Amino acid sequence: MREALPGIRAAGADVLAVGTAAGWQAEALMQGAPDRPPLGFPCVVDPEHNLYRALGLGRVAWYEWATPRLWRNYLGAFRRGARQGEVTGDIHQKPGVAVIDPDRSVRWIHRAVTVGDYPPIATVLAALTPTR
Amino acid sequence: MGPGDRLPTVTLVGADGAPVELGAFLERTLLVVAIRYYG
Repeated sequence: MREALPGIRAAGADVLAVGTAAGWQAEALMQGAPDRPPLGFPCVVDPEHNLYRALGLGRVAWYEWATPRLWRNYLGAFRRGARQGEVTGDIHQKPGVAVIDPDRSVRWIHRAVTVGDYPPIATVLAALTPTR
Repeated sequence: MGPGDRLPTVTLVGADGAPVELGAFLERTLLVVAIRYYG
């Protein structure tokens, strides 16, 4: 996401990351580290799941942990260099990505089917581009 | 909730532990990336 930030801002949008927990982890990501630059956008937490509920983001059912797609996503993230840190939040919360306009209307939303199901950045940039 | 629907007032928590409204970030169009956790 950090790499896509210039394109997102050029499309007239800002970015907000939301996690289910761990303000200290959000702060660390915003601050960066010697081996990791700052994210460049705000990170907040939603321990009460207010935004997740409002966006209709689902929960991971027990049987979904056995699906190949979930583990393919984990493996893909690992190959891209992502490493699991301390688990601090709700592992059953499915993620999602949404474009929200200043009047709080939802312009576009991607609700994850399972863990690690994020849309390609090209899809997100297309959603940010107003249709004429 | 789908495209065209308007979100209610949503309260989040800043990294400093203070409550913050989603609306505080809506000066421009906002790309919200809702993950499970930051770890």
